Amino acid sequence: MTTEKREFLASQYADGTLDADRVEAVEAMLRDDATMRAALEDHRRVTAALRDRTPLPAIRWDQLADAVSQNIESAEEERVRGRFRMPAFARWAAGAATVAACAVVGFLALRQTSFKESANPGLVAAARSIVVTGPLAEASIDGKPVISVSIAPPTTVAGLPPMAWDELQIAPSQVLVAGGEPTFVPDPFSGQ
Amino acid sequence: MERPVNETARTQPSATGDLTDADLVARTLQGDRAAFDTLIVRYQRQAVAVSYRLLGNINDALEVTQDAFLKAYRSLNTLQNPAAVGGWMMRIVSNLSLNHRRGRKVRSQLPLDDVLGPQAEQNSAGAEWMRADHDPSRNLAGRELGEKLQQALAQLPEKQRDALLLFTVEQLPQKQVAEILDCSVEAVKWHVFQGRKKLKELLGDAM
Repeated sequence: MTTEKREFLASQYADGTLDADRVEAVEAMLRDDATMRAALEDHRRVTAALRDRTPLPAIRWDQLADAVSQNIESAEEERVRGRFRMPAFARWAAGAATVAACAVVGFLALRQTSFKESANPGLVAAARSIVVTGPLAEASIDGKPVISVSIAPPTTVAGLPPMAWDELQIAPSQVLVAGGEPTFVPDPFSGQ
Repeated sequence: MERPVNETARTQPSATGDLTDADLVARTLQGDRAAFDTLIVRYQRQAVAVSYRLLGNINDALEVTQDAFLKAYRSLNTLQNPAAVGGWMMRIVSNLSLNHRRGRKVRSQLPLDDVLGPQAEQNSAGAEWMRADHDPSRNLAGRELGEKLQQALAQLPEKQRDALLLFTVEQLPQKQVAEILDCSVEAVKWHVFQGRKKLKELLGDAM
């Protein structure tokens, strides 16, 4: 057996990691081999020095435990909050869509809109006054002109499932035009 | 091995301190945060020690320990053997430590000034091995040996140093060290043997 192999056995003997069936044989070798005994002592001295001379830095364990626990609590709260927050790209897209919608609404509000009879009248801006011409403008109630105007897209009518434009025409909003000034009548179906 | 002292209300284990690891895991999964706090108290010292031995930097070790406990808390439901939560946590600690060592990415969220004791070295200058012991009760010869030991450890190959510190100093089971170092138990024995032999050569008469 080489010297290195003997020293390896001495190292394992020092650590108590020899297989049980080899301990007795190694002890016999140690009795007869001074070099092997010296190697065993070296391993024990180095082990003692390592354990004695490389301590952990001083730690306030109670405060560390508190800090770790607090960190978990904070992280979990943040994770719950994050579930109800849109991701950044969605927030950007929503903001851009809002700006675009406001621009469209503002544009339409500044124009005088001309209504034409159509199976799909389209979205009407939430304008405070609308000048209407065409066949619809000739309808009247008690001498007062009445037109049916849908002011919301199908999917946003409160309390109603998404509908096609044709279906919405059954329950439209009404804009009464009297004396040139429109009086908005809330749509009982939309609540607006 | 010193035992952690816990005297604060937040992590007071009075109601859960006598429970087994398996019971604590079960309670945690049922929503009992105090049960997990007891696990923190029970394993924080070993977690810091393992991470510190792998990273050689106490600041990094504390950050990794924090991350490891958070990761353990969030993935506790994946633990197949609740009774082995200690070893499972140490694997998380060691994996995060080794990743940290590879990436050398430093994050700081813990109030380290409150956590580190008055004699602890605060090293933020990158990874270094253990500072010399500045305990005034130690004699000069002891301090010199400590410094030489640190210098010698720094010269060892990484696997030998890791095996020595985890097995010889922290006295982790060889099987656990083998899992951490991703090698066989026989390889751990060989690394320990070669590491100690090399240290003896480097330290020479100082030993």
